[in-house]
Parts: sequence; C-alpha cells; structure tokens
Amino acid sequence: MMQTASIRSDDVLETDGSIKLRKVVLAGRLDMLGMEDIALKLTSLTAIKPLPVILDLRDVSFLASIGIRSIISSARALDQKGGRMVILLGDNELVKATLESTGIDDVIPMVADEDQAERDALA
Amino acid sequence: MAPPQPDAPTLSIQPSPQELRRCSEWLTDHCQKEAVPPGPTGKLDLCLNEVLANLIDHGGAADFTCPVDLTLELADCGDRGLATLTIVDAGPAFDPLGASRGPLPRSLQEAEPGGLGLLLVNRFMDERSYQRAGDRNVLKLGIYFSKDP
Repeated sequence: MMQTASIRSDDVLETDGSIKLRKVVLAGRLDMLGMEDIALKLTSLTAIKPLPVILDLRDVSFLASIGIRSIISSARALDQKGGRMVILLGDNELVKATLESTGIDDVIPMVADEDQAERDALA
Repeated sequence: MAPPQPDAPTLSIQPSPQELRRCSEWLTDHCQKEAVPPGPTGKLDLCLNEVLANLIDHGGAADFTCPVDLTLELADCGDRGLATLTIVDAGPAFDPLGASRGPLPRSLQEAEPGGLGLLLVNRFMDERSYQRAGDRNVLKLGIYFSKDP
C-alpha cells in the first residue's frame, strides 16, 4: 500500500503571541490523489497571512507536477502579501532534482539544513 | 517498431487518479526485482505518472474505450542497464515530446505553473521516442542506470 499525503504545521511564536515563523510539513506521495487531500490546507496555511514560511519537503516521497503547481501558487500568493517561503529539502535527492529540473529553485529558495531554512525565512 | 521482449512485464489500465498508484506499484515492484536503483526508478515512476496525468487531464482519457497498455523492458548495455517503459494509448494523436514550453521562470511572479510534467519527462528521460502506430500513440521512455550496487 502506498503512503498517502499528509500535512501539518507548527508555528513559532513571538513573546507577544504573534506568529514569528510557520513551519508546514508535507509528507508522502504528492500526486493527483495526494494533492486532493492536502491542497486546500496547503493554501490556507501558506497563502493567507504575510508570514515567513518554511515548507518542509524532507519526507515527501514523490512530488508530481500537480504538487509543484500548488507550491508555486501558494508561494506566489504569499509573496504578493509580503510573506516569504523557503523550501527545506534535507537530503531528498529526487524532490531536489524534480524542483531543479523545473527551475523552481531559481524562484523559491531551497536549502538542505533546517537552521539555514529558519535564517533564510526570517531574513 | 520492435516487438516487446516476450517476458516483459505488462499492465493494462483505464486511466484515473486511482489507477496511477496501481501503475506506480507495478513499476516500482518490477524495477526492484530487476535491481534498478531507487533514483532512476523514482524518475521513471514520476514520468509515467506525468504522462498518464496528462492523458487524464487533456487527452480525453475518460472517453477511452481501450485501456492504456504499459510494458517495462530491461536491457543490458555493458556497464549500465537501460529501463524502458512503453506507454500505448488509443487517444487522439499527440506527441508529448514535441510539446513546447517557454523558458524557465526568472521570478516567482512569472513562474508558469503549466507544462511542468512534460518538461520533467524531457529532462529526466535519457531515451525518448514517440510514434503514431495506426490509431495508437506509442511513447517510449528510457533511463540508464548503473549496475554497480
């Protein structure tokens, strides 16, 4: 049985309770069925408020173009609102190659290291 | 067009989002049995998914009266192996390898979300061919892999 897609988020708060940084973690298989399950939540978590967002793809086993389209749309909406998205890849070589082949690495920052992702998102 | 190897694994499907996963399981199972490494297997799986998704989204797959036929063939090329996937459908003539797409984006605002799937096929596959054979589209996608463990 193939692993399905999942999404969860974790907010880092300022002392006054406002959101300093949002971490959105995707996992599993981001194909047609997978994106049906998570696309709306991805948009609501990343494209509504002008926040620094780390999109963590370290546990994504399969990223189809339908998933890339959803990421582009969210990153673009976030950018228009004044937020910023950074993609965290770890050592996920297939997802890295997929994003690089489509040129997305030139328009959304991609990093391997979690600390670097935080620094870049908050820069 | 050379006939497929007689013992090559085959699968016939009616394209749908659910069937895409069955295709992936079929492909990855056979690649694993034949010791194709995970990297090339993942790329071949992704390209199969993109071609079938394109049939579902744009190729009128819902109206297909004939299934889409898949065949996986492995060839020995000296120090490398070659995994070739043949995808045959009875939809309208369409060469996915000839589909053009603009340059890669320079900014997020000009990033064009469409056409990425076929771009991946052209980038990831080492061998690609398309032929209209009678009333069928015949697409062959191949990727080389190292035989070293």
